[in-house]
Amino acid sequence: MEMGKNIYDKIAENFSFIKELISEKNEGTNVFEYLGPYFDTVMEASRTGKPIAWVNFGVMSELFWAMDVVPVVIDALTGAISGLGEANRYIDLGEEHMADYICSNNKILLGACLAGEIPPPILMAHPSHPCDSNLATYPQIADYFGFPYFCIDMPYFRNERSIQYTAQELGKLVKLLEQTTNRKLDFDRLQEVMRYSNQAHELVLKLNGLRQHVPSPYSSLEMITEYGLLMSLAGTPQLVEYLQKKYDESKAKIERSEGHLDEEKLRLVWIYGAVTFDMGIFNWLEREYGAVSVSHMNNNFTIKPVEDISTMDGILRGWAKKIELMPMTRECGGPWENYLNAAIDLCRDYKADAAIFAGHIACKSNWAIAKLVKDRIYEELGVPVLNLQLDLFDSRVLSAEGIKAALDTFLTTVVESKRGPGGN
Amino acid sequence: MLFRSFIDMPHKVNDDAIALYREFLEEFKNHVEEFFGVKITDTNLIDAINIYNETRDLLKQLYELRKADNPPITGAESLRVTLASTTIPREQYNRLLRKLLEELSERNGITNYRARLSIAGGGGCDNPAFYEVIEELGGLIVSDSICYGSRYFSESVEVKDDPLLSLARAYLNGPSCPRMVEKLAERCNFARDTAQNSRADGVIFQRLRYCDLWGGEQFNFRKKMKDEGIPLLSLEREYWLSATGQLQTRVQAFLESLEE
Repeated sequence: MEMGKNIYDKIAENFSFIKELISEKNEGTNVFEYLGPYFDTVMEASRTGKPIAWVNFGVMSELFWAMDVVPVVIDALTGAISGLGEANRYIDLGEEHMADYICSNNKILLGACLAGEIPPPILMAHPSHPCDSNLATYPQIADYFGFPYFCIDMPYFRNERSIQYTAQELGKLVKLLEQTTNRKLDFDRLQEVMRYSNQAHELVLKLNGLRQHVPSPYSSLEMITEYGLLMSLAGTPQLVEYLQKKYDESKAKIERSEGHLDEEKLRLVWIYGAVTFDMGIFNWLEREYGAVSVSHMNNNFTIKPVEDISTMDGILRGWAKKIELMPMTRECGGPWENYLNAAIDLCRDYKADAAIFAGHIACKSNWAIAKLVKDRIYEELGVPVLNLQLDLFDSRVLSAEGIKAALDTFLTTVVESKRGPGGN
Repeated sequence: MLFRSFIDMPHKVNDDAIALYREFLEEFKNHVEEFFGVKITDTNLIDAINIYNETRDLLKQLYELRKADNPPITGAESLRVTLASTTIPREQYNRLLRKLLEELSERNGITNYRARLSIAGGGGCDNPAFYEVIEELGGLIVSDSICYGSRYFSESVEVKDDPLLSLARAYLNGPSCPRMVEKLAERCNFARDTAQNSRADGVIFQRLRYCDLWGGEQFNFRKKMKDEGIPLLSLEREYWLSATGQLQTRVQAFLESLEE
């Protein structure tokens, strides 16, 4: 791909590579039937000057859709950039200006901004937990490129006080967005968005139940890539439609006693990140080992619908609760037991045969507890965990081949162990 | 059982954040009282704040001496003095510091230096040996904007009715580490003003490897110093003193550039 082209255009024009990967063994509704039009919307907004806001993995998109602002989830965007093979160039550019050990996710965004290949948004918002690297880079980028920035400050411990404080913060974000767009939030429109959002959450919870079924009705890549859709289209009728279709299809599959694979030999749970630069790894796992990746910490949405959408205060409190339970914030922001308990629940609920801690090299805090989590999962569930150091976005730290080699050694052992002496 | 307590801290400074931080401090106080079987009254707190404010005033006097053409104390010695404040009982420390200030007023100033330097950045910058490497090459450290230096004492606590609220307000309003959002310009300005007020010829921005917060901060810090025309050397270091040869080479080159 040539230099200098708007990154939104690149992504929108190059979806086919991953769409094909997903379609390898899937005949049902494809996540890219919905992500494609979403990125067309982003591309169109970028071309026409319609407002675009950046949020990160800690913020769902309802507020922005309600304000007729197109939300772009930075982490889904950088994942897509990595999938396109464009990440390393941006990472290198970012490292010219910031420390090399900062998260590549952040360096990709900085590099894309410095290259002039991503237009600045009207506003950027993210919560204060869990990543130091977000606090280190996002305000710097916003200041340098001159757009409004809002950090949703949230306390370390989760309780009624944290909900109140975070709700206050979210109220301030609404005001800033109103000032930035020079528009008032239309409460009727917000309620409409929240009704869609709540429907989506109900469907996700029901789908989680189906995805725990053995054999899994979902393919590995369907599970992984759904993240971008759940984050970006929260509060839209398109997401509800997609989830309803997936629910109906998954339920029908289970009723027919069918799984995604003809023979599901292993169920893998990714208790941390998932590689973005070569998604073919997930299909390779299915082909070589009959191993379906059935869940992924960052894609494990267990959030309940917002109870009270009759008042603004009710919605702000609902969002505050939601932010505390967003994947990754839920596990990595706060005491380490949050992570441990979530990882154990994930392995238990999804009936894991093995778990992978694909430890992003820049996530120093998570590496601090990797061994503790691995040991406790094995002690409590007898599930073996592979701790694998890599960079989720940068293939130069550990290549796809290196990852496959590590997985091969691990899974061969797990398969042998599962078969037992003289088993087959 | 060992005493263990976690004091959370907001990332912003506003009325809501100050009120929340006051609650965190009150919980910490309650925790100390409960664990050690003591009672901490408002009077106790105000007395302690006054003693600590005296430390701040004395350290400010020390830093004033360093602004002289021929400062009576090196940067490494000064860092040792501020570090001592974190361990010596405060009344005793204040007595010793007053005595030191008297002695310094009679000491001959340092004349054999090549350039005046200010240290910025952070991340566990509590190693005087790091300063010594710089000063042995002729770079006299005349000021700093680091967490064990001027950032530690520059904000006195103004005691009002509620001492915990006073503490919360002072701690949040003080010169910050980059964990505090919305204070980016303030941090850069503090480092700039510190360097300019001490007539530093250049600034050494040092950060600890793997500290994300300062690793990101250098992005705008560099630009700010360049815009202000302040020569800057950016250094990454380990917590312990290592790779001194590389450090010496870079500092030497920086000093030469300042002398040109």
